[in-house]
This record gives sequence, C-alpha cells and structure tokens, in this order.
Amino acid sequence: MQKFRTLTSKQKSGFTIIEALVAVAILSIGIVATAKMQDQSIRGNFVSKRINTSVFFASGEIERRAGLNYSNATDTDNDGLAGLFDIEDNADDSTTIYQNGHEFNVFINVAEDEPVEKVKTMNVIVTQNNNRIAEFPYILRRD
Amino acid sequence: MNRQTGSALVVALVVLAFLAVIGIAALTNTDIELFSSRTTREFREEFYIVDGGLNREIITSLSYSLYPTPEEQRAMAPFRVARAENGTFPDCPLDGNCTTTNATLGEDHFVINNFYDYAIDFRGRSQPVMVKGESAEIIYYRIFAQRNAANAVRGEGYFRTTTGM
Repeated sequence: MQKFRTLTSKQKSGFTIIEALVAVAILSIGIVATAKMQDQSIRGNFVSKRINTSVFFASGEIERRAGLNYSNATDTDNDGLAGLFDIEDNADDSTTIYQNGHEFNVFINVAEDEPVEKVKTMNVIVTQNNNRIAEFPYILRRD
Repeated sequence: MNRQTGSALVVALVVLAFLAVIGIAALTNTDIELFSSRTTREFREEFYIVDGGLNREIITSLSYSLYPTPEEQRAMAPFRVARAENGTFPDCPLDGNCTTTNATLGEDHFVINNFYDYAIDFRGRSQPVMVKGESAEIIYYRIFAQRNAANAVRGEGYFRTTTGM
C-alpha cells in the first residue's frame, strides 16, 4: 500500500488532456461510422420492405384478374405488345394503393390475343416514386 | 505496472470494437433481408411466367379438340402433342418429385420476353359420357412447364376437354 502510494504520486497517473482528446476524437469518428452503418441498415430494410410490398400488390393484382371474368382485362389503348411496359397515363389500367403513408402505383398492361388467340398477355408493374419495383408478366386464358 | 497512461484510448477502442460488431451484425441482417425479398420477387416472377405458360399451352391444346384421333392413340400411346425442343418429357408425377428434367428451353414459347420449357402429354380418352345432353368423350392431357431448369420453378397439371362423338 505504501509502495503504491509512492508510485502513483511519482508517476502522476491518470488521463492527460491530450490523451483524453485523442480518445474522444477516435471515439467520435467510430460512433459516426457506426451511426452510418445503422442508417444504411435501416435504408436496406426499407428497400426490402418496399420490394416485398410491391410483390404482394403485383401478385394480388394478377390473382384478382385471373379470378375475374376474362373480358375484365382489356387493352384500352389498343397498343398491343408494344404497350406492355407502359406506366403512368399510358398504361391500360392502374390503381393507387397507400400503405403506411407510402404510395404504390399498380399499372396493368394488356395485349389481347397475344401470343396466340384466346389468351391475353398481361404485364403488371408496381412503381413507387416512379421506380419500377416489381414487374410480373402473365398470360390469362379464356375459360 | 508502473505507468497507467493510455487507458482512455484502450477503453475507446474497446467501445468502438463493440459498436462495430453491432453495426456489422445489423448490416448482415439487412443483406439477408434484401437477398430474401429479391429472391421472393424473382420466384414470384418465375411462378407467373410458368403459370401463364401453362395457360397458353392449355389453350393451344384445346385447339386440338379432335386430336389425337382414337386411331392415332392406339398407334402411339401415350401420344405427345408437343414437347420441348431437343428435350424429352420430364417424368414428374403429381407429387412433384421429378426424376427427369432434361427438357430444354423452347424456341418460341414465352411470356413476353421470358422463355419457358413446356411439354404436353396425351393421357387418355374417356368412355362416351353425356355432356350438356350430348354424347361426348373427355380427353385428358398432362401439361408441364418450367423456367430455368437448373433452379426450376415447375408447374404441372392435368386438364380435360370434351369433344362431340
């Protein structure tokens, strides 16, 4: 005990201001980097959720059309195969769905009697903020 | 241990290492989430291509309402109405346990720009039955479609059509 007290008084143990500053600086850089990682992680999770939601809406639309009468899917602007990738006003039909404050647009394009008679080729596109998130092609058949 | 300076730095580094582990774990988790959702999207897309392809092949086959004829059936049973280019009909029983999947991509059958393998197999013709007051027989087909044989999404089913006698 005696020896320890002597040593500590001689060595002036503890943090110097320089040491503390360096440690704080390094810690700050590290915390900023970690915060960035968390931000990246949250963004990634959001993208993942957006993809899952879009897939859900696109699947739902295809299943709904397949369950409806064959005449329900129509090529309203008569643009055939060329118009299968249209979005916004050029699409044959569209619906807007809001989920948790986010707007998803579902566009349905139809080409009748393509690629053979008595079937309709359909392309369902889901967008958010004009980004195409999911795009599912399908062929409907007449019952 | 006669000098204790530098401990703040060590503590800072230990805390940083701990935070880095948490950050990397979160990023790994997010990577898995993204991979999962993209794979789900890919699978659903393939699923609808195959399902749409089946619809098209069914409609095509229905145009063979009198084909194959009973004589043809006797000569070549089971009769293959169509089959994949350079491929053989995969032996896929209804439990989905395929033992042969060497059908290759068809040349001209696709859903928009997505090619799929397909095969249609004649399975049998029923005895004459009454359909809507008329004597008819039911023709049974087996139909198969798949995308991407290596990592296949397969659809298979039976369908039937009736034909007047």
